[in-house]
Amino acid sequence: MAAASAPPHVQTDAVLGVEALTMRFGGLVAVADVSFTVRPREILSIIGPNGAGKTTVFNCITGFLRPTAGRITFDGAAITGLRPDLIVKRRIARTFQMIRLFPDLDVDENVMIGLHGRTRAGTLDSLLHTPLHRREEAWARDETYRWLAFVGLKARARSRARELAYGDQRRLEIARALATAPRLLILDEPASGMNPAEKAGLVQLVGRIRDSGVTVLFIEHDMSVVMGISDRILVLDYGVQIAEGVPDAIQRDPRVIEAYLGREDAE
Amino acid sequence: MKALATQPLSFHRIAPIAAVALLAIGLPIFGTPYLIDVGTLVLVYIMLGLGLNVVVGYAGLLDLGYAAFFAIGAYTTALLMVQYHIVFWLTLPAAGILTALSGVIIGTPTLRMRSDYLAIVTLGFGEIVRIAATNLTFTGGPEGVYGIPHPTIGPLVLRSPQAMYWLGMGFALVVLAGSYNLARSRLGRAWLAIREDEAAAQAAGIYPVYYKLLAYVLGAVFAGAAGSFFAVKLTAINPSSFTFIQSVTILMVIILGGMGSLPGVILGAAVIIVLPEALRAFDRVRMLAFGIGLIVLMLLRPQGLWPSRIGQIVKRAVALSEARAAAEIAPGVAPTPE
Amino acid sequence: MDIALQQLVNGLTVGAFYALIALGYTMVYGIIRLINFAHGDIYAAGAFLGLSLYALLALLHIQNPVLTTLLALVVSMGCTGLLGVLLYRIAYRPLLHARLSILISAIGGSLTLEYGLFLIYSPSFLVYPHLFGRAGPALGTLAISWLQVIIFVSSLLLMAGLYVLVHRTKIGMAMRALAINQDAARLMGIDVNRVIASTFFLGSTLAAFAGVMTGLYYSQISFLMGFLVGLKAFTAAVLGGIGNIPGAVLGGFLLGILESLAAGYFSSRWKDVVAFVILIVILVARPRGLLGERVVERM
Repeated sequence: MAAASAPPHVQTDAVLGVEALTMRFGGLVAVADVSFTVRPREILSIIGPNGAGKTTVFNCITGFLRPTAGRITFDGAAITGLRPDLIVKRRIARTFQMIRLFPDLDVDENVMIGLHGRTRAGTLDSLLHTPLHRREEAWARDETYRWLAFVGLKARARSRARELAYGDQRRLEIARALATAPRLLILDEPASGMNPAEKAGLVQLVGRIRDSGVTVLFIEHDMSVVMGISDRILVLDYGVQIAEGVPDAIQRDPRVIEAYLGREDAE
Repeated sequence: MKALATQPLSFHRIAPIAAVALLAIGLPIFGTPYLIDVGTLVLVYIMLGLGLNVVVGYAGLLDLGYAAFFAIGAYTTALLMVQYHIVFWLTLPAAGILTALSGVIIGTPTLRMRSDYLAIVTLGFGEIVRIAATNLTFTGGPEGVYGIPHPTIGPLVLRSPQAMYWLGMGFALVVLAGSYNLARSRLGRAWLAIREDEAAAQAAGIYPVYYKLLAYVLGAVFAGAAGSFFAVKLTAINPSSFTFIQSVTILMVIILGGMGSLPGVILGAAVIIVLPEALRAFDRVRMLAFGIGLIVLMLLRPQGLWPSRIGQIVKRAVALSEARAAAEIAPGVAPTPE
Repeated sequence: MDIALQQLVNGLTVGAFYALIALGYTMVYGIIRLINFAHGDIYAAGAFLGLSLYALLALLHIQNPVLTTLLALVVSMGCTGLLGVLLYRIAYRPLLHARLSILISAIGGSLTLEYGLFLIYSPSFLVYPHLFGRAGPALGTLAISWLQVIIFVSSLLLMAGLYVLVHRTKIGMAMRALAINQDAARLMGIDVNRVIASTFFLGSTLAAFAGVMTGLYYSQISFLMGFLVGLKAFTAAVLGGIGNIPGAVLGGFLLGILESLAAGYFSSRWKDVVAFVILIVILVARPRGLLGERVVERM
C-alpha cells in the first residue's frame, strides 16, 4: 500500500464479530463464552468490575493472546489467533491499559513508528537510502504531523515521549494507533488517571475519531465518560457477559447494579 | 527527521571527525609497516564491531558466537582462492551468501525464544564452528589454510601494508556507511521500537521475530566481509583466530565504545587493539581486564565511552534497575510501580 | 554391549557432575530468570579452592585421605558458596531489571573468574592428589572404581538433601514462592534479596562439590574447565526443563550417558558437539524440556 495522502479510511463496513470467546489460563476461566458484534462507526464500551476479563477480551481480539475457544471475525474474515502485527495489517489498532509508549524516543518518532505497516522500504532501501526510502521518509514526516495535529500534540513534537504529561502520553499512544490507519480502534481504559479536563478532551477526541470514520471499541471505568459517549455498552463480570444495550438500559439493569455493588446474599 | 540521534553539525562534532580522518590518511603515508599493520587490524575490528553493533546495539540481541561468522567469511574466501583459484572479488558474494544462510539457519529457530537463550545458543554455535574448523580436513585442521593469494585489481597486486590498509579502509567505509544509513531508516526505527517495548512495537504493526532475524543476518554478513578481508590480509588463517575469546573481544569493542554508537565502535576498536600493543604487560591481564571491565561498564557507564541515543536507553534501563534494587533491600518495602 | 555398559557407568559419573552443576543453573533461573553464565566458573573455582586446601593440609602434615578430602570439600563448598553470593551482590543484583545489561555483566563475571584463577594459580594444568586410584569392585569386564561409586552415591545424597531443603524448610518454601511470583512473595514479607542470595549459595556449594570430585576423578584441573562443562550443564538443565529441580538431575544424568555413549561409539573428538546439538534441538522442538511446564505467553 503506497503512501496515501487523503484523510484516512472512510470505508464504513468495519464489523467486528466475537463468537463464544473463551479464555482459560490453566484452571482459571478469565473469559467465558462472550459474544458480541461491533457495528460500523459505532462506539461500543465494555465495562465491568476489576478482573472481569475485559482486557483479556481485547488481548484475544488483537492477537496478544490465543483464545481457548471461540471465533473472532472482522469484515467476515476470521482473525482468531492471528499475530498482533497481522491484526494491525487488517486495520485494527489498539492502546494499552498501562500506557506503552517508546519513552526515550521523541513524540514524533513514536507516531512515525505507527506508520511502519503503511510503508514498504526494505533492507536494501534502508542500507542504500534509495529514492523509495527518501520518498517514504518525506511522506512519513507529513503524515506524522497530521496525526499529531489531530490529537493536539503538534507543539510537543520534538519532546521526549516520557517528558509528556500523563494525559498527553495517552493522546500520543492514540496518535500512534491512529497512524496505522485503522478501521477499528480499540482503547483500553483511555481515561484512567486523567483529571476532569483531560477526560473532557478525551471524549471530544474519541468523538472526532468516530466522525472521521473509525469504529471505536473501548474499556472504561469512568461512568461519565462511558455514558456520555457510548452508543452501546457491554457489561462483563467474572468473565461472563451479563448485559448489553444502550446506556440508559444498562444504567437501570439490576444485574449490572448488582455486579458493581455486590451481591445481597452469598453466592 | 531523524530516526536515531543526530545533532546539528557543529565544531565539536566536526573536529574529532577531522582529526580521525587526518590520522587515518596520514598513517599509511608516514607510518612504519608495523604501525600500518596495527592500523589495518583496527580497521578489521571496526568492521566487526559495526557488524555486531547491528545485532547488539540496534536490535538488542546478545550474540556470543559472532566469531563464527567471521570464520565462515574467512574460510570461504581462503578455500575458494586456494583450492579453486577464484578471484578474491568473486569470493565476496560467496562469503556473503554463506554467512547469510548460516545466520538464517541459526537465527530462525532461536530468535523466537527469550533473548537469554539466544546468547547461549550463539555461544554453542560459535564453538561448533571452531571445533568443526579444527577437526575437518577440508578446512585444514588446526593448521588452517595458508598460502592465500593476494587480491588483484587488474594488473595491480595488493600486497604491501599500505595496499592492505587502503583495502581495509574501503571495506570499513562501506560497512560504516551502511550502518549509518540503517540507523536512519524504517529498519532502524523498527529495531528501536522493538528494543524499547516489544509489545508496543507489535501493536504498531512490527513483527519482532523478522526484524531480529534481519539484524542477526545483516550482522553475520558484515562479519563475513570482515573475514574475507582478514583472510587476504594475513594470507594464512587458522581456527585460533575464531575462538570465544574473539567473540568476547568484539563484544568488548562495542560495550566499551558504546552500544549503537558508530563513533563509539571506532573508538572502542582503537582502544581494544592499541592498548595491548602499547602495554605489552597488558597481555596477561587482558581477559581479566575485559571481564572486570564488562561488569564495571554495565554498573557504572553502560552507555560506553561515546554514547548514542541507544546508549542513553541502556543507561536509563540500568539506572532504573539499580534504583529498584536499592529500594528493595529492606523487606516488606513495596517496589516503585513501573 | 560391553561398551554400552561401560559407557553407562562412565556416563553416570560424568552425569553426576553435570547434574550437580545443572542444579545451580536451574535454581537461579527459576528464581530470577537469569542464565548465570559464571556458574561453570564457580565450579572451577571450587576445584581450585579444594586443591589449595589439599596443599595447605599437606603443609600441615595432615595426610589421611578421607580427612583431607572431607575438609577440602567442606571448606571449598563454604568458600565457593560465599563466592557465589559475592558474584550475585556485585554483578547481578543492581541489574536484575535490565535484561541485556545483566547478561553482559554475567559474561564479565565469567571472564573475571576464569582469568582470575589463571593469574592466581597457574596457566598450565594443575594436578590433584591421587588419593583414590582406580581400584574398585570386581564386576567382570566392567571397570568401576570406588571413586565412581562414591561420586555417584554422594551426589545422590546431596541432591536428596537439596530436595528436602526445598520442600521441607522455610527457606525452601520461600525459594519456591519466589519462583512462582516474585511480587506476591515480596508482599508476603519474604526477604527476596536474602532468598536469592541463598539460592546462589546453595548452587555454588553443589558446584564446588562437583569441582573437587572432578579434580579427584580426572586428576587434573585447568582454569578453563568451567567454560565447557558449564555450557553442558546448562544444556542438561534445559533438557530436563529449566527451573525444574528434578529436571536438572534427570537432564544431567541423561546428558552424561548420551555423551559417554557417543564418545564410546563414535569419536571422542566430537563428543563436545553432542551437548550443543541437544541444546539446539531441545530449544527448537521442546523448549520446556522433559519435565518443564508449558509457559503461556501473555502481555
